[in-house]
Amino acid sequence: VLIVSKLLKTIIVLLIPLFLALAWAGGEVRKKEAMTQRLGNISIDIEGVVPIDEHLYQGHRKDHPEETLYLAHSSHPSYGGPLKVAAVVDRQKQIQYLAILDSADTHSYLDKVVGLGILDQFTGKSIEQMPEVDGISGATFSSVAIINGVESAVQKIRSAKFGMPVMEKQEPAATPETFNIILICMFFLSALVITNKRFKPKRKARAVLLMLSVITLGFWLDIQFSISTVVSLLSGYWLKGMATYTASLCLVLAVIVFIVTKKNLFCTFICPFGAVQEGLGKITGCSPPKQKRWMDWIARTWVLIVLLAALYFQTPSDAMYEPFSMAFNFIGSGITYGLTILIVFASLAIKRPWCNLFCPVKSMFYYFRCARKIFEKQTKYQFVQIKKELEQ
Amino acid sequence: MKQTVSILLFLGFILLCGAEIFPKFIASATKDRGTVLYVSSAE
Repeated sequence: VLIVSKLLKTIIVLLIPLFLALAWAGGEVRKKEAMTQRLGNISIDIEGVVPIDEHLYQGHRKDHPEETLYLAHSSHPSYGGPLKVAAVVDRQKQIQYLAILDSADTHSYLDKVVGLGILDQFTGKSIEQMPEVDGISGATFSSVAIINGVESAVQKIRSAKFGMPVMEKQEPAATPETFNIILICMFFLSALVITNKRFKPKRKARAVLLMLSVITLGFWLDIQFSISTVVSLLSGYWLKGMATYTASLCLVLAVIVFIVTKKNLFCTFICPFGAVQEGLGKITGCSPPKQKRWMDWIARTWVLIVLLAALYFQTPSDAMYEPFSMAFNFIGSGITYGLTILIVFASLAIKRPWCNLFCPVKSMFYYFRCARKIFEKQTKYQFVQIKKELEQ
Repeated sequence: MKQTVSILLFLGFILLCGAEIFPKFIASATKDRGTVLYVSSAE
């Protein structure tokens, strides 16, 4: 039974990357077919859309073939990956429609940005005098990507159809990417130092590091990787451009450190959401939950299903169900709000309820642990074989 | 007692997280692939 169980585990570990690759490939095919269709769907008032140049199209108003419309789309890096914006301009050089065609960002952030009228500030304006629109704090990456996308799409129409010069580009809001990257590296470095055998005040140092993490990575910068970061990385959005790589770097560092040191330093020493739960648990001095094996397996299967679905539909933001943004930035749906409240109260009765019961990071590290064991055994076996051959 | 609370909490997480993401995936699967996310019109 033990051998069969181990064999089954090995097969599952090897099959998971194959399934993920297949889901991603299916999603890529599905996505390519959709773009031209979306341009035609910006409004029922637009018809006869045909490509005339790269990312540039021409159409006309419904039932008015003489009223030519020029359409262009442009893609810019946003938080979750590229964000695609389309602009529709008439012959009088007026912006008639603006549309967000595709985005990998969390919908609640986009809802906020669009709800505050970022697109409406451009529509109806002449492309000869583009308005200066500022980014929106709390959703800086998405808003800057939209502004840049609109400007680039309009620029394509300006140059190609009206022979107008390149307009002065509005400088996007500076993002403290370098600072964030250094900060993340410092956190991992500190965690490594604390785990060193020679380092004595381990508990105090860990408490300080977790507190700092809540303040900086949580409330101040809202940096935390989630399952949507995993989807963005697996989808290859980091190759197409992302507005920030901090969460991805955090994920990559967590995995590398885990593979090298065999320790999950992120969850134990860095995760701000875990720190909040642990802090609440200290008030009552509660203990970890009592888990059944089936609960672990359901949680792992859940993560796999979510990853496969998000890779197939090419929507990393749809995979996001962790309440991090709600806990630290108060952004999310009503359900996420309810989930956050549940976790906060549960933390008073059970130590780290989310981390222990349902956090996808736990399932992810379980996979890496299994994969590493298989790889280690394989390497060990090969090493023994080579040694035997050399001795003969 | 603790085990019952843990199981209930686990089921609560599944229920809430499922309610959060699965409607989005179902919408992605059923909606027209040419659907535009947001539109702003001059009219």
